[in-house]
Amino acid sequence: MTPVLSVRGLGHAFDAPGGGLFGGKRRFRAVDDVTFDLPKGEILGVVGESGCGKSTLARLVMRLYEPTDGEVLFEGNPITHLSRHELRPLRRYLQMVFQDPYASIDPRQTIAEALSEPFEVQRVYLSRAERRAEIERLLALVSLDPAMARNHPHHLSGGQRQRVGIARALALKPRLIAFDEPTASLDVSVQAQVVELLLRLRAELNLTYLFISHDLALVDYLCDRVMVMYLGRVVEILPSRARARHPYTRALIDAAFVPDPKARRTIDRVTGEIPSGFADLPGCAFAARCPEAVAECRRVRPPLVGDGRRAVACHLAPPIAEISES
Amino acid sequence: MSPLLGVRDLAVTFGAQRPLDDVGFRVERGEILGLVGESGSGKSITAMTVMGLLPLVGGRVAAGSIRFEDTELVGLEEPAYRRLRGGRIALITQNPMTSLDPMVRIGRQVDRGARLHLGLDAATARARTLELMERMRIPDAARVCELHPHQLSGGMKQRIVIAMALSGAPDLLIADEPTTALDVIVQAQIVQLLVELVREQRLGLVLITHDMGLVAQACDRVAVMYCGRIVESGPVDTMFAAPRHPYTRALTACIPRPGLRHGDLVGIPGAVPSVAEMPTGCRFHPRCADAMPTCRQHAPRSVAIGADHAVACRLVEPAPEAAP
Amino acid sequence: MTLSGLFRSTTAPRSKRRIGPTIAGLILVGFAVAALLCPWVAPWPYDQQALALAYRAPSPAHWFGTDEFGRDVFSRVLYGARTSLTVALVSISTSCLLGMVIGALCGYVGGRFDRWTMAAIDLTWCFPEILLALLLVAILGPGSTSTVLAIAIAYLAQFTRLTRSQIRALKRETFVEASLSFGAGPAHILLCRLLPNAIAPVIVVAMLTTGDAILLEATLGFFGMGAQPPTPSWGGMMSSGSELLFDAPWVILWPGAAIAVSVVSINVFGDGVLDALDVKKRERVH
Repeated sequence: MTPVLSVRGLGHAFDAPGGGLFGGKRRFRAVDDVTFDLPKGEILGVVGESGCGKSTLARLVMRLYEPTDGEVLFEGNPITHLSRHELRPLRRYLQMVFQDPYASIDPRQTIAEALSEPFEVQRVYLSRAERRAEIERLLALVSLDPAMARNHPHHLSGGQRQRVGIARALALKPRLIAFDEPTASLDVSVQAQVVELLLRLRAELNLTYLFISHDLALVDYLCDRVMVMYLGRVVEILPSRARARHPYTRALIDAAFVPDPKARRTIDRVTGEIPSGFADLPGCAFAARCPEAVAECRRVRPPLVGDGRRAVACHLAPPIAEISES
Repeated sequence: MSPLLGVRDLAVTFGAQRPLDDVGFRVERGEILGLVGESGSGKSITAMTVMGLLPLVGGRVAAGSIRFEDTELVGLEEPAYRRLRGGRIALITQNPMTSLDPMVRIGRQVDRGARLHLGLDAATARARTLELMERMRIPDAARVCELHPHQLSGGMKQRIVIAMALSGAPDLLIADEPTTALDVIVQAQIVQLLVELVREQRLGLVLITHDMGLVAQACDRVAVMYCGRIVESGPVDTMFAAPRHPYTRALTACIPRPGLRHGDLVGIPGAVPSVAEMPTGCRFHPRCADAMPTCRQHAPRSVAIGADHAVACRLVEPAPEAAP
Repeated sequence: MTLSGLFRSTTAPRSKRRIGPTIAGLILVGFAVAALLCPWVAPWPYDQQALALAYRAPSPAHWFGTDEFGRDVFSRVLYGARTSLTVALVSISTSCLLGMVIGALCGYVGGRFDRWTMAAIDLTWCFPEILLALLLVAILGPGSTSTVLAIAIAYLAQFTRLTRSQIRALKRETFVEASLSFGAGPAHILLCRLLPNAIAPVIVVAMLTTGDAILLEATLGFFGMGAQPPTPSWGGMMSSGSELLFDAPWVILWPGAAIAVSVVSINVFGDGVLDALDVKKRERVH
């Protein structure tokens, strides 16, 4: 079966002003040679620290940004070179939910208006009664009170707004939804509600998700597969709850705050912070912070080795056979 | 001996609203107290109250006492407060991006505490600054001193903010969500640094957070706050092994952790009510899975149910037979 | 909750209804009604001369006195409101509309189009308003049309810049990205998302600028470049009254007072509108 989404060698580079007044321009690679498949019904998590290119990746897939390299295929059809007009009918099937529920709804719109905007934009003409029925259906889908339709977003809590954001993405009956850190600005208690909602919606509506997050524990819980990014590159793809092979993935796991005082951890293995990404490193992007790096890591860029489900870009990674035994 | 910080029966009013009611906790030297709750539960107001910054936002202490060693902070004159603030009591704010002055070089910003509160001259203050920055594992401290905030990464800025807080030689640190704005690995590094500092210098630390994960990793004792009241407090091990208040349990249950299956992650239904619409009785009852009719009418008293473990919940009140 | 959140929700109680803007609004309505109804309200025709009655002090027959031709100053102030306010309103609405269209396009399209257009617009900022007006009057001849054009061009850059910066900031908002993700085209983004959110501050500035426009119109009138006699305008009246400032102060006083009152009223009213339109202030009332 063709995957819902295929990404081939996708890249997004731009020239950023260099340092100083006359520094010239430097090439910045926000996303660098990313390849993956997302089969129907799967949730693929994309994790990494800020600046790793995960949000840019989501926007490239959505064609909100134009890729500079590579290709995006939706249900087997390349969409990278479609014009805006050719793309519009496809947009129904490709939707996005944004990080900040406070900013993703026009403050002047009522919830009803926000929910009917996708129909207007797609020129789906609804009678007044149909419109009301649609709005009620959407609000019910995300477990919100239909009476909320008349409110403006500032009357809603963050969690409620994010539900509206999700309902809006569901309006046109999409097949793929990209989530850009949808719970990062919510309380953990609300985050859990939203995550359960996403799982229910996937089952009910047969959806496929691309889920961007900085929280590996959350992604591990929600997603079927996890893709770890560092400085625009994919360092590892692995099924969730599987043993990590890349030192960076392990560092992310170690850094998570596990809610168990008996399992306190110290992380002194990985030091420093993400470098600014300008340096077009010849070797592994993580080599500078990696506790295990050897000379080869700084010289030769490790290729992403493995099959579609499981791959790692590390010279030192143990082969899959070794770790699946343990 | 009296604790480093002891807050008792504290109530705060903003006009007719009462965002804090009957709040009590204490912090000893060398101890980290986690003050946990969702946003809107009153954690930040508690921090501001202890810092004596309430008048700035139009609030006032209506009842209770805040004792810092032997000094009563409620009703303390502003000049005296000013000597404590940034000196013996320091605040670490949530957002390192906005708590540094963008126009002033890092070194001068960190020097300020020592010059103001320890009365050091410029050279001695700078020496102290360099020492603190090295303590915060800031590489190349002398060079960083000459930089402006925008030239530093988020994690570096938060280290600077902590160094600034330490500059006036505080005994008590209040950290309001000190790592929320940072990346995961940097978060872990900063928390580890804070824990080491507290142990080494025998500081008291009030760590304000909404993340029970962070609490589990860093704190010695925990006070769980909901709608301006402390609903449960106790040693961290007890609070995770045998939490008694439904809110404490719920807060822990909504953290994703290894070994969970889909459906195991339980959120807390609804949202924190606003200060203007506080529910009657137990303020958590509309969101509580175990609420009984009595919870709607009667606010529970805080009851001690074990060594240093207190909980305010009707379900627990008949202490003897309910004890595990 | 962040500190700024605390500040907003606690120290900024809902702004009490202030009385100033209401009074200012009523005064402005009064001026507008007078300007509209002056043929019926004015006790005398504005051009009825009676040289025998020149420079009479205010009296029950002539409430504001008479001018050098014995014309009724009260009637002329009413008719002058018609000229002055119309010129101000028409010029500012022209300027504002044009500025919004150009500014929105520049802000939205960006790039070379934006750079060249804005460079052209900014040229108008190189000349003082009066000089610009003089130039136009020299080309088109004196009269209300030239005045309207001069004022419109004088304020064009301001409206264009303001709209442009609003649009540029709004373009980066997530809700715009959300609309794009549904497949919205530039027309929808510009008309449904950007302009409605950009319009409030532009309207407020337009209102505040109307006060300046009244002053500029009066200035041009004072120099004889505005509406031509016998059509009264406040500036023109002051100009003719200046000759006998000390002997017949009422001739210059009343139109001067009319200018002052209308300008102050517009500014106060504009401030009130600014407060009322401030979405952020209304947010999170609870």
